[in-house]
Formats: sequence, C-alpha cells, structure tokens
Amino acid sequence: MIRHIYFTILLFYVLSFGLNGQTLFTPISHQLSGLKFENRLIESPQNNIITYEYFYNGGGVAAGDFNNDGWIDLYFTSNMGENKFYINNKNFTFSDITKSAGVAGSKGWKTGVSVADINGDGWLDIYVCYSGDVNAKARTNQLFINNGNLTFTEKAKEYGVDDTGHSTHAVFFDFDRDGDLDLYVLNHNVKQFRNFDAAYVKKLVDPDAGDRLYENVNGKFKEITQKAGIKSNPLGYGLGINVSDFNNDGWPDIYVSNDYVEEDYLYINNKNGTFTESLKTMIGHISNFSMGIDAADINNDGLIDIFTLDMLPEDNKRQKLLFAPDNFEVYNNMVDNGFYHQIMRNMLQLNNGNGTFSEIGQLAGISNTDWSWSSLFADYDNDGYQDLFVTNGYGRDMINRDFMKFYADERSKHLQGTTDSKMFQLLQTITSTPLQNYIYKNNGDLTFSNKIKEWGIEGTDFSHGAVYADLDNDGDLDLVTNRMNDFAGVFKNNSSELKKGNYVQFSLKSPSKNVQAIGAKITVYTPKGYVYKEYYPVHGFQSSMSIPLHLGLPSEKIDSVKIIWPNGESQHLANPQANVHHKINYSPNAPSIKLNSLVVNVQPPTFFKTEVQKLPFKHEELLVNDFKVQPLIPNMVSLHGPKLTKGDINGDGLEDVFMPGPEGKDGMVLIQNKDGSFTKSKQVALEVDAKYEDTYGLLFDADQDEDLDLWVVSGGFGEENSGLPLEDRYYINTGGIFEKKQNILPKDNFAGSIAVSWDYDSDGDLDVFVGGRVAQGKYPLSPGSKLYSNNGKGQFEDKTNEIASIFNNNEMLTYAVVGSIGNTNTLITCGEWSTIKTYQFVDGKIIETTNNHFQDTLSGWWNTLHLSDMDGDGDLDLIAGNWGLNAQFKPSNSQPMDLYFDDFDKNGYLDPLWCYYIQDESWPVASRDEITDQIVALRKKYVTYHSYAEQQLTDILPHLNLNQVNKKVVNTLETRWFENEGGKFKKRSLPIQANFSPTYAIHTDDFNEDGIKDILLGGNIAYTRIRVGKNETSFGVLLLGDQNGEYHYTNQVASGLDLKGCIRSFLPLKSISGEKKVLVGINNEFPIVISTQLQSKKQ
Amino acid sequence: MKSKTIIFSFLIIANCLFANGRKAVEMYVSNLKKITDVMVYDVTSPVASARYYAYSTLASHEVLAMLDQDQSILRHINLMLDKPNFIFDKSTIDPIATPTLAMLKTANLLLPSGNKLKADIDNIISNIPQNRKKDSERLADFISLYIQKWALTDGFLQLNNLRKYTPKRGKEYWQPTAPAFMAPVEPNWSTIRPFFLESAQQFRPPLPNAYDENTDSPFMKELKEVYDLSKVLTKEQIHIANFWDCNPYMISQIGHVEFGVKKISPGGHWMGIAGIVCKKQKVSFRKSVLVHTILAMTLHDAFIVCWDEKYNSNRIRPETVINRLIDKAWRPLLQTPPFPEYVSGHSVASTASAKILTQLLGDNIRFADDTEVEFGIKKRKFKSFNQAAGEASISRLYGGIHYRDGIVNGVWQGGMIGDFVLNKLKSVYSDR
Repeated sequence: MIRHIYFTILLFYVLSFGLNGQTLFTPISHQLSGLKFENRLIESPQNNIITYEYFYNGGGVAAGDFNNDGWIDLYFTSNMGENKFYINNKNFTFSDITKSAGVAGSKGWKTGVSVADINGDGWLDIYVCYSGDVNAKARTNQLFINNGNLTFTEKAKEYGVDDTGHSTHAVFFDFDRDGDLDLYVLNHNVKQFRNFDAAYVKKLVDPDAGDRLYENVNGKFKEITQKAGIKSNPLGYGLGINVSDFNNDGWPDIYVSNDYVEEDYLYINNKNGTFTESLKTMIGHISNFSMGIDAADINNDGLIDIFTLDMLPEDNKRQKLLFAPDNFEVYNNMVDNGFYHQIMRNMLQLNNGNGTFSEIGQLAGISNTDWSWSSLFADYDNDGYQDLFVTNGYGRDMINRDFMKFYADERSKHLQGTTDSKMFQLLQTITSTPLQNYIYKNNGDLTFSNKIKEWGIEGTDFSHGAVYADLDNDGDLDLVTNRMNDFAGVFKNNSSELKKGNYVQFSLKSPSKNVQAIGAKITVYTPKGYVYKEYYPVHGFQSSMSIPLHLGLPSEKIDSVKIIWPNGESQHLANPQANVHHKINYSPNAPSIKLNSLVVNVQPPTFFKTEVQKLPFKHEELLVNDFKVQPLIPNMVSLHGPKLTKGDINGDGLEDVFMPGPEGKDGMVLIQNKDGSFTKSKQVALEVDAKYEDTYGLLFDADQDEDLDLWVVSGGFGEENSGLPLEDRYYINTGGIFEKKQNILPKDNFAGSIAVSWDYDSDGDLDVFVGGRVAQGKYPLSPGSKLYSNNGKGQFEDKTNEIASIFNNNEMLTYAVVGSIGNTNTLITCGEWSTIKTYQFVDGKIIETTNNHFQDTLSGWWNTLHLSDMDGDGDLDLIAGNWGLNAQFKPSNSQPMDLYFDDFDKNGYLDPLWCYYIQDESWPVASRDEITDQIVALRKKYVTYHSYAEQQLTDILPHLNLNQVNKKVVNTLETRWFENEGGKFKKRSLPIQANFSPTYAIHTDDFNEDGIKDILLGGNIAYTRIRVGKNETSFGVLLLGDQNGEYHYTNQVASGLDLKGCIRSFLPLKSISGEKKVLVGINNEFPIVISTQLQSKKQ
Repeated sequence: MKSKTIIFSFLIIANCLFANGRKAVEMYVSNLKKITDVMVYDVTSPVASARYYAYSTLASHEVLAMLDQDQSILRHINLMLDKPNFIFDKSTIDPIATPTLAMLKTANLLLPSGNKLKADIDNIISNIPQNRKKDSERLADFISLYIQKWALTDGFLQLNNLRKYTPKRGKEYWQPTAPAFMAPVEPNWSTIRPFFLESAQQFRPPLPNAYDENTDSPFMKELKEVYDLSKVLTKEQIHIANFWDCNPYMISQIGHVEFGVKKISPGGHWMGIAGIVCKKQKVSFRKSVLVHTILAMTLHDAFIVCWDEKYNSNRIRPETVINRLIDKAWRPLLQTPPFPEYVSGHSVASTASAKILTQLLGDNIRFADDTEVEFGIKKRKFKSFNQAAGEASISRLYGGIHYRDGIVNGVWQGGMIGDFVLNKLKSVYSDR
C-alpha cells in the first residue's frame, strides 16, 4: 500500500512535469506502471532471421477489460518468452497475473493476439497466434476462454480454432451477420517464393501459408476458406488485416496486406457467405512490402479509408542506403505476371464512395515512416479528426546495399564453421538501427502534421504491435507499444489534464452472441460536423482493442448519435452528453436501414453521367521508355497524348474531331454523325504519315477558303540521331479529305508539343506559333519555339529569327493559348521546368510581357492552360494544370527543385542532375548506382553506398559553381487558377482535390446552372520513374464555383465522375440534341463521351 | 658507345632476370592476383574485367619493351595513341619491379576501387633499390598515365549514355532471370574499341537453332538435353560445372537476407591458369609478361565479339524456356547470368585462351588448376590447355545455363579469334 502511494506521488510528479512541458503524451516508465514486459529476442545459429524470415516482426498487444471492473487491462505476446497479462490497478499501475490466470502461452513463436467475447458470455477471451520455423504442433494457435474469475482455460481444439498455419494474426467478426463471431486467420509463408511461374503458383493452395476463414456454427468453428472465396496460395505473406465496411453496404469486408510481390487483397462481402477479391478494380496502386494496416474515416465523410505501411525512410541517407536503380523490367514483370502496381511507401487510400479509392499518402504527408508495423488512427487530441500513430524499427539493416554488395561477401569469406554458424556470424555483423515512432496530427484537410516532438513521443526503439486505450479513464487515449529487447512503451495522454478537446465513449451491448456488437457503426452529429466510426477490435499490427469506442469531437455539444447495429437495426440517441462514457443497450428506435443503401450523407449523382459507350477508336501507344534514352531525367516526354482538337471538317455543320496518332499509328479524323456517334474517315495522307509521333493537330482555315486545314505537330523523344522524323506536316482540306501539301511549311526538325493559330500582327490571316518540347537526347534542353507567318494564302514563312528571336529560348513548352489580356493580343505559354509566360507583338517584334501580367514567378511542371471568364467580369481568367501535390517532392520558393545540367564529365552526353529537398536540405535524386553510371569517374569516388549517402551536389562535383552551372528550377507543383484583374493575373488556389494528381485537361462550364462557371479537371500519369510511381488518383474533379470566386470540390458520388486512366484532353462538343457532352482523350485508351448535362434537369 | 651501353645494360638485365627470374614471375603473378581481388570486390563484369586485365598487363609489357627495345605489341594495335617521348637512363630503372609497378598503377587508375592497390604499390616501391627508385617510379607513372589516357578513348566512358536495353517482345528473346531479374550486363559492349579486330562483327557465328516449341525441333532437342542432363549429373560433372562457374555476382537469398556472392570471371580464371603455368614451367619474366599481356588482350577482343553476338541474337536462356514449357520449378545448377545466351562467353574466352597459351607455352603441358580453391572448390588437373578449355566449355551445359549450339559455336568463335591474334602478333612472340 505504501508502495502504491509512493508510486502515485511519483506519477503525479511526472504528470505535472509533463504538463509543464506541454506535450500531449508523457512516457510512463516500467518502474511506475509495473509493465515490465519486454519482447526479448535471443539470436542463435538455430534461431535467427535466416531460419525464420519474420524473426524481427515483434509481438502484439491486446487491451480489454477482462474482469469487467471498468478498467482496461493489457496482454502482451512475446515471440520467444512468456506472454504477459496485466490487470489494471488504476492510477496507471498494473499487476502481472500471468501465472494465476494461466495465459502465458506455450513454447513456440507467438505473434498476434486477438481479444473478443467469443462465446458471448460477457467475458473477454484471448486468441493467440503462433508461427515460426517449428513443427505444426508447436504452432497451434491457442484460445484462452475467460472463466469469469481472472482465470482462463485453453480451448482452441474444443472450439475448432486450433489452426496450425503460420499465423500472423486473427480477427473475430460476424461476416455472415448471423449474430455470432466468425474467425479469419491471417497466415504467412515461412519459405521464400521469389522466382516462380506466377500464374501457376497463384493457383496453388498452401493451408499453412494461405489465410483461412472459419464460420461459427453453434459455437463451433468450421473452416470454409475455399468455399467463401478466400485466397490461400503459397505467396500469402500476410502481415496486416483490417475488417471494415469499405463499400458501405452494411456488410463487413476484409483488407489483407501482403509482404513482397503478392498484391494485397480486398475482399468484398457478397452477403451470401462468400467474398469477391476486388483490389484491382477498386484501388490503383498499393504498397510493395505491405506491413501493418489501419482503416478509419480520416476526413469525416462517413467513408472508411485505408492506410497500409511499407518501409520507405523519411530521410535522404537511409533512402540512399536502400535504393537500387529503378528496374523497369522487374516492375513490368510484376505487373505482367498478374501481380499489381506496387511501390515501396505507405499508401493512404481515400474512399471515394463509388467503389474507387484515391491514394494520397504523399499529399497527406504520411508516406515515409521507414520500416513500420502498427498504424493506429484515433483522435489523440480529441478535436474530431483521427490522428495517426505509427510504430517503427527492424532488428537489423538487412537491406543495406553495402551489406548486400560488399560486406556480406567479404566477411563471409573469412568466416569458419558450418554454413549455419557462418551465416549466424555474418548476421552479427549487420548493423541494427533503432528508429523513431511517428505520430501525426490530422489537420482536417486531408493533410497530417508530424508531431513527434510536440506530442512527446521522441526516442528510438524497435516497436511493433501497439494499442490505444483510455487506461486511466480520463477521456483520452493512451498508447502502449510492444518493443523488441526493451520494456513495453507506455505513453499517457494528457489531453484531459490540458483541457484539450472533447470526446464521447460508447460501450455497446447486443443481445446476440456477438455481445460486444462488433461491426456496429456510430455516427456522432455535432453542430460542427459529424464523426464516424465502426467498431472492430483489430487495428494496427498483431494487436487488438476490445475497449469502448472513443470518438473525439469537434464540439462540446452533441446533437444526436446514430448507431447502426451489426444486424442493420438503427438506434438514435438525442442530445447525449459529451465527455462521458455511455453504455448503450440494444434498443432500436429508428427505421431499420436498408442494407444496400447505407451510404452516409452522400447524394445520388447530381451532375454527370459517364457513358459506358466508348468510341471504338483506340489511341494506341508504342510503349517507349524515355528513361532508357536518358536514365536520369525526372519525367517522360513521350506517352502524353492525345490532345484532341475539333472543328467541322466535312462542312456538315457538326463538330468533328482530330485525334493525333502516336508513333506508328495514323492520326484519326473522327466525323460526327447526326446521332452523335462518330465514324473514322479514310485519310490516306494521314495513313502514309503514321511513322510520325503526332503531338497536336491544329485545325484552322489557313488559306481562307472556308474550310479547316490541318497542321500536325511532330514530336517524340529519342537519341540525338535516332531517326525519329520531326518535321511538322500541313494538310489542305478538300471536301473533308486532307491532302498533304509539301513546301507550304518551312523545313523544321524539332520535337514540338503544341500549335496555336495566332494572328499576332492582326492582319486578318492566321499565323502559327509552334511550341518546342525537347531537344532529342538532350533533356532538359529545348529546341526553342517557332513563329510562322501566313502570307494570307496559306503559305508560311519562318519569322522566328527575324521578329521573334525571343522564342529561341530554352523553354520546354507543353501548351499555349491565345487571348486578349488587358486588351492586348497575347500568347500565353507554359512548360516543364518553366514559368507561365506571355508574349505580344509590339513595334514589329514579339516581346515577352510576363512581368505585365504576373506578379509571382511560378515555375512548375505545367501541363496545360485554359482561358475562360470564370467570374463573369468580362475578362479572361486563366487555369493552369501542374503536377499536383501528391508527390515525394514538395518544392517551394525557399526549397525549390533544381535540375542542373551540363556535360559534367565531358564525354559528349548531357548529364541532368535532379535535386529536391528532403528534411530542409537539397539532395540529388539519383541513387549511387545511377549517378556512377551517368558520370563514370564518380565510381572511384563513391566505392560504397555509404560514401555517397550524404553527398550533396557540391560534394559530388566540388569544382562546380552552382551559381554558374545551367539550371532549371521548379518552385510550385500546384494546379491553380489566376484571376484576371485588369490584365494582371492574381494567383488563386483550388481545393486540395485538384492537386491529387497531375492535371492535363481542363474544361469550364456552368455545370450546375447557377450562373457561375465551374471547373472540370482531368489528369493522372501512368508512366513515371519507378520510385516516383504512377499516380491515377483523379477520377475527374468537379469544382463548383461560388459567388466569392471560391471553388468547392464535389465528391465523386455526387459528381457522377468515374474517369479512369490518364486523361489528356477534354473536348466539349455540340451535338444536334443540344445535350452538353465532353469527349475525353485518354492515353493509350479509347476516347469516351461524358454527358455534362445536369442530371436533375434531365430527368 | 651506343652498342656498349646496350651490351652493358643487357648484362645487368640478364643478370637480374636469371638470378631473380622465378621471384620476378612470382611477384608479377601475385600482384596481378591483387588486381583480380579488387575486380572481384567491385563486382566487375566478365567483359569489363577482360578490359582491365588487358590495359594493366599492356602497361607492364610496354615498360619491358621500352627497356629491352623489343618489338612492342602496340605496333599492331588499332588506333594507338602516339606515345610522347620519354627519356630515361636504363641504369636507374629497376627492370623487374617497374613493369609490375606500371601494371598496378594502371589498374589503380582504371579500377573503381583501384585505391585498394595503394599498399601493394607502396610495397613494390619500397623494395626498389634507392638509386633506382625515382626513375623506376617515373617510368611506371609515365606508362600508366599514357595507357590510361588511351584506354579512356575506347568508348567506355560513353557506354552508359547509350540507349539502355529493353527486352524484346517475342518468345525467342532473352528475358531477365531469377532470382534478381537484373538488367542485362553491358548491352552496348560491342561499341568498345577492340585491340586487333577490324570490327565487333568480324567473327559472327552462324545463327542459333531457331526457337521452335515443336518437340522434334533442333531447338527443343537441345533444350531437352539441358533439362535431362540436369537430372542425371554425375559428381564429376557437378564439380566441373562449379569449377568453371566464374560468376562474378551470384545473388544469394536466404530468407530475408539477400546478398551477392562474388567470384572471379572467366577471364580471371584464365589469367590465373597463365600464372600457374608460367611459374610451373619456369618461364622467363620477360616471356611471362608477354604471355599474360597477349592473353588479356585476346580475352578483351573475344568478349567484344561474343557480346556483339549476344545482343545480336538476344537468345532466351534455357531456364526461362524450361520453366515455360517443361518444369515450372526447375532451376539450373548454376545461377543463370544476366545476359542473353548465345554464344557461351566462357566457351569463346576459354577456347581463345587455350589457343594463345598453347602457342606461347606449348601443347600437352600438365598443370593443376587451384584458381577456385579460395571459393571453396577443389582443384582440377589438366593434361593441356585445350583439355581445360574443352571442359570449361561443356561445363555450361552441365551447369544448365547454355544450349549445346551456344557452346559449339562459342568454341568456334574463340578459335577464330585466337588464330587471328596469333597470326597478327607472329613477329612479336616468335623470337621469344
């Protein structure tokens, strides 16, 4: 007793100290808490990472009130030692009652722990998973049934859950909604399976490695894996599992994260006892070495989002020690062999509510947390938004490239003894780096802020499983971690002491065998918005929390609460008190929710309809890889079509379309029929010119004969003398048929991107500006752009040198538009590594006028421009599509991205060295292998990965004067709009959804017919550097304008937009019916038509 | 006066050579092994290591040629760079240490981890008598810088700026292989300047058996041969395959642990054999240097023509086809190296090497080859260079990484190159 008082005083002291320090969390030492558990690993020649490849994955934690005294107790799994069970004595003190309770577990390798009231007797039971390189008996999972008196009896066999697979974790949930708890056991393979015939192996069944589903039939568990459609192949390296209602239809679905090449699984519940694995149709790309997982509604829209962890470090040094050169063959092999797009970083899949997810981990700022295990979304600061805690650390730096390439071989040659012993000795030489856990505050705007310091969880260790729970019943969530070779981490949350925020807690009680109401959904409505949670005890990694559902609140007042019980019945609570723990008994008092329409607060499609019908004319790319030409360039120049253009080509009064043809394919003339369909017209001249890579087709009446002629810009990328034909072509329109005219255009030989007709001298004929894209083999040099003057009869003369020498510049242009800005006839251009620039014709010369129109120097990776009077004030405003903000690189004015270029080693080839800021310093992107391949002399300088890992450009090329070397800069990747105020473009922001992915297509119209113009954005990119990764997170973004010039994102369900692929152009079309339609140009795909008619008006 | 000097210096040199001949050869061979070790450390591809051997040994040869006023190989070489004048007094040059020093210094300049040779260089210098130290080092520096300057004009610095390889679409073409699916090694090596050849296409072998999945096709018969043999390999055949594996970078994956196990390249193995036999036969220092130099330069040219054909035919490896058509789980005894199959590089290199060594050192020389002992593989005894080359060639079939026609035509190509070089250098070696 004296002891207790002493501890309490000490604790009080510590807590006060914490308050003075103003951190949200305070660590509690094991001396104070009595939680002396540590997951001690003892490596030996028989037991190590080689004999069992998940040796360093660590143990789990379970939280629950096992004696029903209202205080949360804790259970820890130990891989090699005894599991520990601690009873909460209040005041943050715990007693170890493992022995008397009989829950130490058996010998063997213990992994995950799942806690639930499995038999529905009102007492929490414990299920412990086993794995390891041991026989089946030694890895039999155990079920400890609670006797109600703090003793337990092991009854796995009796219940039929004595699974002998290599289990990582297990989840109890009522998948068939029959009122009892079923069981999913997550397994992993202990054998390596890295080179194989994928199609063959994927069809194999390996019950020890593959996952298993058990149905609860009258209290006994029956295995139904195959019958239920659960995959069970030997490639299953399951490390994480989450059960949630991902498609919001009232039935629990399952997400399984798999390590290595096997893709994750997303099982959608078919409501008939089976599941359909649907990952590839719902999610665009995933983590490569998926580990822990969590799912929660991170943006309070009533939809469950998914977060998977991987192992990408935050800092430059660890990245450099880890990265191999981008290997496109390995990546393509993975995708071609039926696996999936997988990139090594954490992925945050934002639920769009229409069966698609947008991966925005990098935009959210939570993509790099190193070798991470638990991810736990919970509202740690009680502000109504779910924050994120991530545990981190791996026993040894196995994937250090110096070890793989140099040290391992060198050292192993000096070792003596048997193979086992040698490998063990070798292992001992691998370094071991404890890492920092991460904690992020949810900013409420889809972004998170790193709060490691401010919230007081600093310190490095090897943390694996973790739980949050209100251990001291003070209304905030404390954290507990299971640490390797260290005492459990305990962090007391000080929100209540600091009087931060508001919360509400619920304990639900159902009359079914599923007493805890696992699968219930709770929405808490407040005057400042609602918060939504589903009740599933398993979150994070190998851990579970059978604790009251805790929701932080944006307000101190609750309007009402809606509970949807697992059986679909609904219960409303009016004005329940906030900052209280409510115990709710099953008592439905509201209309039961129809199982197929549980969508929370989402309107049926109001706006667009994506027509299923595609135009049967595929834009078919020759899938070239520009990175094979210049390995260090940041972006591909190729694969960026089609930019569709329109005009009445055959003179029938209907708008027709030109679709540029990629290299090897002819450009297509698509004639619109009266019924709105299209027919490809036979164009021999275009077929003959299929060898060209068309980048743009300008339809204009060059010869003033009242029909549209065609100027096709040629582009593409290859070596300096690759033989790619680059001259533009001119076709004259003769009754809807284009005939090629030689000698009309001056000879040009550069890769262009865009042509605009611009009567620069206002003499009534259409002159042409052609934007230069890239010098062949010499990215980022540009060939410059050209101005061609029309003699009025459709004959063109290159006037660039004479009057427009300003176009002999180094701008890598991507797009250009022409319009009257501030009453002057202005050309506006944009490009990659370039600013938006304006030009006019003054006193016989073209001059640059950018400074007259722009205050800010915004250099970006601009893709497109759009001029339109957005605010109805009679002048043209500008919308500009950039790369977006969902990327590793986040350039700004003070921390720009730089591209230094020169032939640094004088070997006749340009060396582009791309740098961006990581943690406030600028680092080269190239890995050690990549830079020493580009500049061979550096091989002698950087003989190890370590020697290169912390080298900045001035270290790599010390004689370089960074102020004098050729350089291109990017200081913004944000897609935005610019308001024209008397000829000055004032920069304005768009909602964050406009910056999920690169924007290539822009269309404006008053879609909702409220008199204010709205914006439609399209984009995405599929072919990138492997580490940059594909970004197909936009499905068409509808932004509705308001009277204040602000734009508001309309969610995908309401907008009805579900555009898949790389959108490259929007072409609004007039049809006879008068219905507003947009033709969408998609890279390497069939174009599609969408109706942009307001659906509600239509009906 | 001049003839007197020559006679005088000849006496000194002869004295040194005869008195220290054996030691000199041993020093030369052991220092060459140091270069091999650095190349192994750096994970140098077979083609690149042949190039490094060639330029390094050429430096040693050139020093000797200058000292002895012998006919230099350089006279027979493509696009030789003019050598600036270098005035020296023979009496102040150490005729044994200097060639070895020049070899090490050249390797020091060319190899990525060449600095690892620093201690060996210092060791040689420290053993040169004081009165010869300065000039010997000066000469070694002069030659090594001259050779380096010339070496760097051979296209090596441009290699990585040429278009990177993309595996061709089509069942007959090479695909990356397990376990690491590495990018293919040096697809543009045929752009490197050879020493003697007129072009990289000079000895193009006949086309390989056409890919044909028909069981009776020549292709399938040879594929089946690889597969069937893998099931019945004798202990002896397994030893042979491992002995000639010569894979500079085998990826070892044990559980979560992945790392490279390094060995010498085929060229390194034959340089080792040259050293063993030069020592065993008590070949003079002067001739030993010549043997090593001609062998290394021949290997370089051999790999250029071989690599040209590899990326000309782009032929698929047996492992890929066997997995596709016969046995999904099959792995070859040796790890398939990361480049196209046709022709077998070891067959080309070994046949060409045996041609050179037989001509320069004699036929039917018995020797015990312990080159692979450091990698844990027992030594093997041979009756002749040709026997060793024959065994090295067929070892690729035992190892499951080549078809028979890749070996047969590799042997043909190697023989053509060997004969071509010997014919070209007749005047250089015939009087020694």
